[in-house]
Amino acid sequence: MNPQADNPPSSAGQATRSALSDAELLHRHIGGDPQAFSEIVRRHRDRMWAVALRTLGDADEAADAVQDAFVSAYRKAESFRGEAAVTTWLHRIVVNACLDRMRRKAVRPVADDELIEAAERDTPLPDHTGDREISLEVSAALKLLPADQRAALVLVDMMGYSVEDAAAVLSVPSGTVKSRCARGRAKLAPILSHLRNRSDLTRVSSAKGAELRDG
Amino acid sequence: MTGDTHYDLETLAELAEGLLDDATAQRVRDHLVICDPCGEALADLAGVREVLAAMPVPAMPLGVAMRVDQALAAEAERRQDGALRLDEAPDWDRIMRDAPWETGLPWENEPAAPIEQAPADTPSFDTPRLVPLTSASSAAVNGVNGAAHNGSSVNGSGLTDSTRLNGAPYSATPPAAAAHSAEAADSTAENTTDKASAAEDDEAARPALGVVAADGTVVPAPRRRPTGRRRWLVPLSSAVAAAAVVIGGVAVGSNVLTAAGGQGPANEPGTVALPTPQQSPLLGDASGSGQEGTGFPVGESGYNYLDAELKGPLVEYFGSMPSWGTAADDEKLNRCVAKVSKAVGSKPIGIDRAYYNGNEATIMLFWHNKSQNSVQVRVVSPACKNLRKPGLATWN
Repeated sequence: MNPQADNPPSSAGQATRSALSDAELLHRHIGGDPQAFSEIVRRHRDRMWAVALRTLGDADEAADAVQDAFVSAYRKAESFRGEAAVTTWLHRIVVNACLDRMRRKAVRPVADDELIEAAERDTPLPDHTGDREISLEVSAALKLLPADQRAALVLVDMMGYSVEDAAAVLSVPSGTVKSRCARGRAKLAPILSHLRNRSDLTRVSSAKGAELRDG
Repeated sequence: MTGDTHYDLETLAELAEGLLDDATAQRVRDHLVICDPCGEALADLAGVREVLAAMPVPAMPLGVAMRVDQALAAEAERRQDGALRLDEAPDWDRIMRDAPWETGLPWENEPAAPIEQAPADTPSFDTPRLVPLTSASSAAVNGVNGAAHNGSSVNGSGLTDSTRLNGAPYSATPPAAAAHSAEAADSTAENTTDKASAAEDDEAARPALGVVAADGTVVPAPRRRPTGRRRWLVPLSSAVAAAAVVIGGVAVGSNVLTAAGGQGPANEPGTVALPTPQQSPLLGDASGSGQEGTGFPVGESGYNYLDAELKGPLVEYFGSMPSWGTAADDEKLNRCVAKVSKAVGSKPIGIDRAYYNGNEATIMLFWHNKSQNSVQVRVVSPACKNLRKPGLATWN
């Protein structure tokens, strides 16, 4: 690519770049600034990693998906039209890379009774459940969901994005996101209820009540 | 939760998301006021959100970040090099398409030596020439093929080296006597090519291969097609080997090329009988060559054809069939070919005993419209049943 006259040389460029918006950086990248895209990656890689890791539930798969996604974004930066935020666009590419991987692995949809069975089987002993175990359990539970429900829950419930933002990322109407979240939560509730009860112990009230309820 | 007295989790979750219509929502709310289990269930649902939201956000591990950086650096390099960079290896098939060894024309415009002038046991070509890979003895050939079939270990990738080692003595072997060995080497080497793609990496470094003519001159051998997926049954016409393989002094690579004298189609003595679109064995000589007029090019590639590939172009798969043959050792196949040929109304231009979607199958090609580059494809099982709707494909 031709070096652009208005691209400041490296050290000055670094400072300038960190002040730029994502959209400006992307335009610089399209214009040939070799460092612009790296800045975008630096800004967003942790979030992209979190989305991929939670959607796929597997670190190796997530690493592949994130790498594919960033390379893909690098290549098709020109296709970014500015109709959405750069972060939305990046999220979309990452989520799609994850969904592609899941489809390729042809994850079998799981019936509800299997979910219950899995929940009963996987319920760990209450005592030794630390944060890591909870994390693993949640990850395992998420894997039991269909891909679209999982992706919606990751964005809305785990990443804390608004339904509208998630809808933009997933390229579906808001109502669809809500419905996927609702169905996903309904499936997770029996599996994760004991986790909430445990966090109740440390956080708020009603450990007694939870025990009573759980019999 | 039973439907009559309680609401299921999904309904409750939809209520929480405001997805229920007003009337339903009101009914559920009324129910929640009086129903503790449903209230608990609703709390469980809220708990799901809590648990999910409480999950720590993991930072991208350093290793992954470095991987991403490296991938992007490679991408940047590619972008800078731009059009100067070739992403893929040259398409040798395309580049070499018009080469004499592909078109079947004699090299260097040398007149082809009539077959009759080549004594059966003392091959002496004044010019090296590529001719169909023919066998000096069908028994020996069957032995070679048999070995290849029976011993799956033959296909092991580790064979590249041993082939190479074994190759060395061949250059010292008298041409006539080397025929079998050379053929064995070729057969083996081609198998090796099939399996060991690593061999391709050696292409650049490999010493030049050549074919030794009887007068001792060495003619450089052409590259074999990079897709070495074929292993053609050697036609059963008897022939005499003419040349030995020479390896630029060192070793035999996987691209061994043998030159052998033999009887080609009778009307085109000494020239190559590769069925190319320009030179169809059928149109060239439908009955005069081959064996008692029943000859047809038959191969046994063992390749697993997929639907998309059978839509063509197929010259890649069938175009380099060495010569005419009959599946004389397989009456069943002969009967099947005859049956299908009758149904189609013409003789096959190519037959490959291979696989289709993982099932053992014989692929038969017939010209549908030669001027339009169109062939009919039949895929039949060993029992001669159609495995695939007869379809058309492009030839090249």
